[in-house]
Amino acid sequence: MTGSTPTTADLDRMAAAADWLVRLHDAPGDEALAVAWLQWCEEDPRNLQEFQSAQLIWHAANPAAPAPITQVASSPPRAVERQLNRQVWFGLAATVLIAIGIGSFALMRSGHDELLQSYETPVAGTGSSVLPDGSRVELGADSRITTRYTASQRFISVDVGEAYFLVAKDPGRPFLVDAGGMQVTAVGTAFNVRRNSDRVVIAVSEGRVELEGEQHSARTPLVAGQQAVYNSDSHTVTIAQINTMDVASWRNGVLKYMHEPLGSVAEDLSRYHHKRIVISDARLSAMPFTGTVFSSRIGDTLKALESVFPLQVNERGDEIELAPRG
Amino acid sequence: MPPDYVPEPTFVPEPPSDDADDGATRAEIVNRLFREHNQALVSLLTLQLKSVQDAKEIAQESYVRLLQLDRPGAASLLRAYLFRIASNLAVDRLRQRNVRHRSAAAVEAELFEELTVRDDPERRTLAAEELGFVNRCLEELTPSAQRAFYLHRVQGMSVNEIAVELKVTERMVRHHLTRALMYCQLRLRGASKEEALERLKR
Repeated sequence: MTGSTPTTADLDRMAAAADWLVRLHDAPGDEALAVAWLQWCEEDPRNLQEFQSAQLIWHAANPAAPAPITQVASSPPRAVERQLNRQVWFGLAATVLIAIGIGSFALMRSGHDELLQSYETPVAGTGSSVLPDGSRVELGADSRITTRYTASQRFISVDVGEAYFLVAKDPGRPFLVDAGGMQVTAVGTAFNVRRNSDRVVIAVSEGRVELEGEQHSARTPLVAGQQAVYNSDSHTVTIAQINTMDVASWRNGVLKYMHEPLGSVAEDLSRYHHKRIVISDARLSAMPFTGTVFSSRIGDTLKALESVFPLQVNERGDEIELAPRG
Repeated sequence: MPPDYVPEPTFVPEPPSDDADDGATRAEIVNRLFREHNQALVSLLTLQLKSVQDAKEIAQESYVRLLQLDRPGAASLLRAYLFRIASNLAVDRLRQRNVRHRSAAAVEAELFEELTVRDDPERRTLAAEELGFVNRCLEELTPSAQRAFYLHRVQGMSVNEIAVELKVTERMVRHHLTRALMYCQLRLRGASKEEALERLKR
């Protein structure tokens, strides 16, 4: 259309699109309005196009404050205050970022009362078991843990994959979980540990645990509704809020990710899929993904990712590669 | 060691459950909804979230939730659910964003970049120089239109609040905002300042 004179119909459409945009912005949650708008979009495919153009201008526009018009008072305090409050809010709530040293911690003293046991699951199969102390573990697909119990300690190593622990209370015998660089101490609580090649995700659904790196200087508490992500490249831990229902939703075949690098998601999905999912492109691998994947529908999900990320799915042999598009 | 202390690993692999019987039909309808409405849904969500990437993710998540929903599968109902789910998820995402501490300014800056990235043939984008052009166009508007647009777009004031502020009717505020957008459209499509104003007079 560039350069050509718009017809009356074009101008009408343009006006309608702008009007919809203003109205939708003015009432963000108005369902009836959204339905009416959708109907308008369906009337003619050019309607949505025109709407998107208007939207583009809307988002691109970031005008500086114009000089106040003489007969009108300057901005009301209310509006200014709101803007300020927002900034203060974002400023105050700074990201909790704690540096924790890495390294595996010392092996338990090997005594005669020691009990060593390993538990594992196959690709695409989960399982559960009761540990010797009555604690319960549920294991995600393609996962392995090793337990080493002594009279004074319950020690578990998450070697690969994911495990959800429902810990039996025994204050005299701490429940320690090593997840590669991160140690979790629990008394009576329920929490999930997921170990990927470059990160460990610990989420608590009940009670509280304490996190510890190699330097025992700072123990970090993690309570129900919190999730800690330990990055083994940067040796940092980021703590975020999480819905307790989502902590171990994988047990029902629902895999939830929150701002997780695509590469890590791919690695995780591979545990539930008969073909390994790989991303070799570093940029793509670092893109954050937030969303839900059903472990029984991973194929569909990968297809759907093509519309969310600039990627294409290449299937070859027993591998599925997610490659940059174009 | 007491013998009853020996653990008995009782692992029974539980394969992921198969799809429900009507899963296939449901999936077909959802697929169709995706084809027919995804562009619109992403547009709507971008308004709210001010991020194309977040909007795409929420849209995607909405289809997933829709597949999971235990509701009758009439297409029109599912469409309504789809938009409701998306709207709820968008509100959640905005809340999460507060938790994740992405400042409003950072979100705007990201959006600014996203607008020029051509990663999706169906998504409209602007050339980087066009972004600046939009803001220069806005300066060509009448002072009251400029003021109304600024208060709406930058200060986030509602049409009603702007009407009170500028001591004009809501209808007038809407008129200013709509014309501001149309004016930029026309200018971007090659109309001169005079031509654009002339067209808007009709």
